[in-house]
Amino acid sequence: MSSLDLLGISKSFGATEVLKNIDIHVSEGEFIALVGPSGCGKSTLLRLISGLDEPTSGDVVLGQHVVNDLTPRERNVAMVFQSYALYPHMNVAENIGFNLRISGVPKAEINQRVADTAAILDLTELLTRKPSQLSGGQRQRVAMGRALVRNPSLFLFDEPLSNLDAKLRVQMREEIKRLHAKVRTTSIYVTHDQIEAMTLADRIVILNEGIIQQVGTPKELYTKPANPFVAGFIGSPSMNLLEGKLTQSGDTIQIELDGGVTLPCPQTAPQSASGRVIIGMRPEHLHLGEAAAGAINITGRLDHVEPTGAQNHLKVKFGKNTITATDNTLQDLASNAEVTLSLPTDKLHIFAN
Amino acid sequence: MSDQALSPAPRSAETSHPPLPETHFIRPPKKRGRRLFNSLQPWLFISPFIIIFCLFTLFPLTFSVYLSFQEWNPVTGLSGMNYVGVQNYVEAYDDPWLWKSLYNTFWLAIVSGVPQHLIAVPVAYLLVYAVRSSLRHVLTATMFIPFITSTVAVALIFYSIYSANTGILNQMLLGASKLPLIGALFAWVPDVMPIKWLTKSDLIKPAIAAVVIWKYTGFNIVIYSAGFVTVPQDVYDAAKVDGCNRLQQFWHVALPMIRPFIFFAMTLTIIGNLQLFEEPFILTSGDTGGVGQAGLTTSYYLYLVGWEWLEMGAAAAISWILFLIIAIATSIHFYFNGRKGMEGNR
Amino acid sequence: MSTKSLSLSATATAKYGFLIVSVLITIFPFVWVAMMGSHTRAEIFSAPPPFYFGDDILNNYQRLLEIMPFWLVLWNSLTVATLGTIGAVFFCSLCAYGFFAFEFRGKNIVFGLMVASMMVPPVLMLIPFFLTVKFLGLLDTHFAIWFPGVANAFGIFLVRQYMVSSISKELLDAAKIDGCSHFRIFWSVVMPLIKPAMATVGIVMFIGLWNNFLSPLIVLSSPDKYVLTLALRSVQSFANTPWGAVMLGTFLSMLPLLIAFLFFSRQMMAGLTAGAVKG
Repeated sequence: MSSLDLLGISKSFGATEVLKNIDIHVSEGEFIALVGPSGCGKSTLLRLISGLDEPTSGDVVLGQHVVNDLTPRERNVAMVFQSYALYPHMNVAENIGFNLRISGVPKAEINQRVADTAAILDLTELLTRKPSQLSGGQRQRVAMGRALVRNPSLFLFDEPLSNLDAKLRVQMREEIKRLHAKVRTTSIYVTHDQIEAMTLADRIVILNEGIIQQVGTPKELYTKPANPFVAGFIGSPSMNLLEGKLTQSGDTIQIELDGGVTLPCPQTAPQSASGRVIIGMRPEHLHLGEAAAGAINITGRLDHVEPTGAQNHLKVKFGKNTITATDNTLQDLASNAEVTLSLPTDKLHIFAN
Repeated sequence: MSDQALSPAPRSAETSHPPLPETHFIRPPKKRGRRLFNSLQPWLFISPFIIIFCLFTLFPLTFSVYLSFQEWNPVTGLSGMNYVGVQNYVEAYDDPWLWKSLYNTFWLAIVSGVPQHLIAVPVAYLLVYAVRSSLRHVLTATMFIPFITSTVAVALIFYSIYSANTGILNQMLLGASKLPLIGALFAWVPDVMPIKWLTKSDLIKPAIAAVVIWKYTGFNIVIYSAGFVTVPQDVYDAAKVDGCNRLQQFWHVALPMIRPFIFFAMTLTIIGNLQLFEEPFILTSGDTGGVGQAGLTTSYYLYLVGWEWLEMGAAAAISWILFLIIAIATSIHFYFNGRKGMEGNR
Repeated sequence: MSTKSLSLSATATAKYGFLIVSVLITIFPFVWVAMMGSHTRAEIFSAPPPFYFGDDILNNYQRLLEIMPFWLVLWNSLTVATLGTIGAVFFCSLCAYGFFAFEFRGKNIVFGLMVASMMVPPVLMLIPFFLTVKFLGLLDTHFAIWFPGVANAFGIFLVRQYMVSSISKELLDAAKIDGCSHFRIFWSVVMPLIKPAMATVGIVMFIGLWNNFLSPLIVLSSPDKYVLTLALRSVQSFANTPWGAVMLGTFLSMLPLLIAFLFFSRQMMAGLTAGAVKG
């Protein structure tokens, strides 16, 4: 187990630059999630950390050692793949013990460690089965076991749950969390699913187009998104983002949204109160009905309602935009009715555009 | 919370985990040897191919171009080589045996090629649609046997079957002429006995062609069966609904659907048949191509020139002429059938 | 109704008749050669020739051993075919792995050359091949017959295609993470997974080498180096050819492949038509 530092990592394939000057510090025992839309470079970054690929420039540091020139084996990293990548011709025990065999660990020790690992993952009954005879969840656990058995200094996960059905995914998510709490190995977890990242990670790195957008704890990302991308990426349903500009008349600053609607700007307004902005409102912060003083009221026309069971998603026409609000009270609302939504002032996000 | 909102997006919020200063890291010396090994590794894996390709394909091909402009008896060693310019090609052009061999080659390619497919397509169709699959495999496999048998063995067997005085073929024809009903059909047989299949110049080529057809039809049947199996049943059902009878289904549905297979099998036949060597070589007992060179194919002739007459330069020239002809024939085939053939109807 | 069923049975008869005749024509020469191997020369040359199994096999066998060292020649064929097959299975897989697992500069050029070399008709290679063998001092060796085929384009292409379709790149990565060198990945992970393709290459190579006539014809000159095809053809032109013995030898020479075909017909057919059926 060790810490990981990425220093100025860039990676190009031909003329396309996939990663641009990435700096990340991961402490010992930390669980970091790399999140971003597909094609953002997160899997590439994982491959650079693992040693499967080389960065075009920059350094990968494990503990205190620059490991750029080392093979995955010398880095002592373990990896769980999206397709599990189990060896089809080996049974579960052989799959788990393969890397020990390659490292020349004595047979008796291999057997012992495979048995221990299998016990942790509840695989003892399946040790003699071939991967083709296992269910998706069992394969996933074997892939974990293969990584776990060797006491790696770094655990890498490449979208490990994306091939599972929704129910199993939740279950395996909990299992990974439990496992990490137990072994406390430094882990890097790549996913495109923000919920997975939020539930699992100590800190999350959000990537887009090869650039780090923000690094922070799940809570930080949710409450203080650094830019509209992060704001839109984290949270479900995603944040309403509206374009507009700040206008000042006398002492009061207002937000004039494109489409002609004007909102009052909270008094904690930024100093440089001019120029275009993007404002963000989370659907779960927009409440039906007039609000107490100090809150922002938004009046619009209900377009339609998407019931999800526990709550309704209201699609409300507001100016030229359609915004989403959640309604936990499950009111019956007539289509095209006029609705008023209120937003606490401190929940309004304003980003420079 | 909006207090910092307009400040530029922080690159990272590593407030709780400040990175170590760079000087703290231990940088191992660069391993140049490993980098070299890594970049050479792919070539190591494909080196067996590279070595054999250069040794037995690339170099020899290049050298044979050079050789075709030389006069060379291999017995004299490399020093016995004489540059003669295009003389080998000129002589080949004036060589009546070469022309004869080319005629024979084309004659055999067509007569032994076309029937293979005319037989194989309907047989494969019957096998796929009229025979249940267990029996189908037995029948297909049986018809495939000639293909896995060595041409030498096949040619020797047919050599004995064709034998003029005592070969079973002539004996069977004689027997047929004595049969009560169909005997009349074979009434001509006793008059022409013994039929010298392999020593009469106008019978050699048909005799050779029959052997070739016998040996390769089974191969084509297997390919076409595989083709017909890929035609989904619902296409036939649709054709039936459109009112096609069995024959129309074959002609308008099945045949166009297996076009890629026909194209491929024909390509193999064209390239293979233009190089016929072993069948004529054994059936004419390996002399100069049989009576009147009626069984002399170009491959056969090239062997004679190179290894019997020891004129390697001339043989090299002939092999390039033959290659050119094969290339042209294949191109014509690709030009007329290629696009449809490769796209198929799927 | 009755006319319809009559015509139906007539077409059925025609169909099956057609198929049966095809099968009979196919197997007749094999039955014939087996029979001829059991008759004396006098019987073979009697009219009509005997269409039944005779009792002269042992004599023919004696004669066969007199006209050629049959078992030595069979052994030669077996050696050539076995060495060539083992070599091709291993080296074609190795090269295929090189084309499959790596991205490197020049890969497409080499691969393209390889595919192109499959189009070169063998007859064009005849003279160059002879010359190379002569330059390398390999005339009259078995090595010259089996070695050039051990890394052949067809085999490499076939195995590579199989790898592409059946092995994911993630599996290779997993093996690298597990600490395998490339050769170890090839040996412990990839080889066990490409057995079907290796079997195909093996079958094609063995049959090809066993039946090969052209390269032995131009390479081998000493009768004790001869392979079956060459030895059989060399006794064809004897004066008073002992046909019973030649036919017996011919039959025996075909027997190993025929027996193998009995058990592995599906694999052998699939292998030999591999290029066609997969397009």
